[in-house]
Amino acid sequence: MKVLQIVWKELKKDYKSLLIFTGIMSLFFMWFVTFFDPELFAGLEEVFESYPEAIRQMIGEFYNLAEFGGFLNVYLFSMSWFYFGIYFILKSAQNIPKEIEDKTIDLVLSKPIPRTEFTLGKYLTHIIEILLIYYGVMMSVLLGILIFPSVTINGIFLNEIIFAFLYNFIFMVTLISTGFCFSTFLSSKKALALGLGVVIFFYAVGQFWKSFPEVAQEIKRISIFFYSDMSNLLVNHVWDNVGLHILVLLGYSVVLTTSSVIIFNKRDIPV
Amino acid sequence: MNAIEVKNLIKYYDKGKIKAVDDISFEVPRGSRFGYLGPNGAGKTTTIRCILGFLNADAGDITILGEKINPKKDVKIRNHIGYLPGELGLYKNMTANDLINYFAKLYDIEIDWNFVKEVTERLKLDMNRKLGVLSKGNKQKVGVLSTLMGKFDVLIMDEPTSGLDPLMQLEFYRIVSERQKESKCTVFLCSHVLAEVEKFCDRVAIIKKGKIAEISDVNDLKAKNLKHIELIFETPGSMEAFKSLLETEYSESIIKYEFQTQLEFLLPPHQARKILCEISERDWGGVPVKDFSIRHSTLENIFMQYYEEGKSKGGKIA
Repeated sequence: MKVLQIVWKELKKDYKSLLIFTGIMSLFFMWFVTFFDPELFAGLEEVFESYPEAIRQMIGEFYNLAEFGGFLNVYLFSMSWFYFGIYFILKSAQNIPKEIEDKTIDLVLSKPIPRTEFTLGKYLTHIIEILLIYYGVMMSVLLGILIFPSVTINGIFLNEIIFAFLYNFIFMVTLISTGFCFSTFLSSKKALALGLGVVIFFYAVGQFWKSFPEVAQEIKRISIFFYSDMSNLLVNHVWDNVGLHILVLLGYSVVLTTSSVIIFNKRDIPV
Repeated sequence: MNAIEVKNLIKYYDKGKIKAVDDISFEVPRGSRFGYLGPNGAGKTTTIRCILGFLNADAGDITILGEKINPKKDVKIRNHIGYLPGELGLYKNMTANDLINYFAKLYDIEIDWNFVKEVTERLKLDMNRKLGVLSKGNKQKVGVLSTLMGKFDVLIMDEPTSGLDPLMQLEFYRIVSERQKESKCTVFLCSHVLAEVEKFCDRVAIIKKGKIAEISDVNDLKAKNLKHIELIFETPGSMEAFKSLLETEYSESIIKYEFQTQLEFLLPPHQARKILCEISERDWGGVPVKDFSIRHSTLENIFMQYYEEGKSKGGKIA
């Protein structure tokens, strides 16, 4: 399998920036955990109540800032597309086009390396990178829970928080798949512009669908952000639809990844 | 058996508006050194990229080492092909050592470190510098090394000496020749440096606007093409008299160079005997020709002939 060689080479190329990014984000979220104060955030919740519904929707359908799960949902998971998503759209949308534009792809594909393996190798690298980052951030948050006195471990649903990281990781994979799919047939600039454009469109639909006329509200189902809302799980501890939403997100990624492989196999690689 | 057979290959760009390769066919005999000539945009690289499966041909058949292939799907055949691209892209953050190791793992080949050492010494290549800081010539050396380190039956090279200084060019061709002698591989060479092709290749194809204009053994091509004649006259008046003969009776002649009493021109082979008689038997402005030489045209002259048809004829300067 050439996939692993390609993954290994990509990871070796990116490991410094990956370690720096993981380190910064892990420390950032560990520091963030220290901000949690149930009484203080309960007061902030009243402030939120006065916001328009569309704005409140941005942090999820339900919120309870006095609980650690609700706090994480607002400040980490609902904003993860911003903290991590943009970075990975940027990377996934530019990786293959850059190989073509820099002409490094010629030496690689002139040997018996199937394009499918080349494409999957590139894709898998992004998945592994986001997995490593999420693992680092999750460990720092869990460590924060244990070491900072402001966070009392009682009342924290650790299983939900750990599952939320996994859920959010699957959502990140959909963002990567979006950027990656465009990268298989567009130049780096166009793939980046279109990848970001589509994600911002999904974000707008996923966050503001309640402000649309009732007849148009079902449009929410086209947005990956609709399926990534884990506020019901973290705030109300309700697992309804979680499995279904995860399946939709996984299905979206599988369809886009398969399309990426097919498109890249068929396309011309110009001079 | 032929190493490469291309039949009726067609590749159009821009929905058929640009005919990059327009129904070309050629065969490259096994073990030969085949030159593929043409200016920029003639379709050379497009042909190579179709053979290697980078581009989807619109029509045509490609056979490599006797096996008819779909270049994109039948990737295993690339185990037998070495390829040095014209515009070489290398990973900037790697050293030549890293690159060799990476390709060795990726291509499933065992590195012959003695060969690597020998080539790096002969090409004066530093294996431990980041590729991003290397000059164009040194990058090209890395490309040469990464191409030659594998085993192959067909070696395809697109402008392989671009960026190399003349000494390195010479060394490069020596290395390739030795490698070919040892492995009996076939070499398919695209180059703008026609003198190189002339020295290195035994057979050439000239491609013009996506079509094969000529395909022949180099020596046959040179023999059947324009003769290169160089004359030295006693006086400028003698030369002027001779030039007026060229203009009136040898309208297919092409003057390559003239200065004071020296004249160089090209002439189709069927007129060579006749003009030799004129040169040796007649006086020009009252005096005979002081000196003359005649030789086969160089590949460059032949190439120019294909590309400058309609220009510079009838005693005009090319």
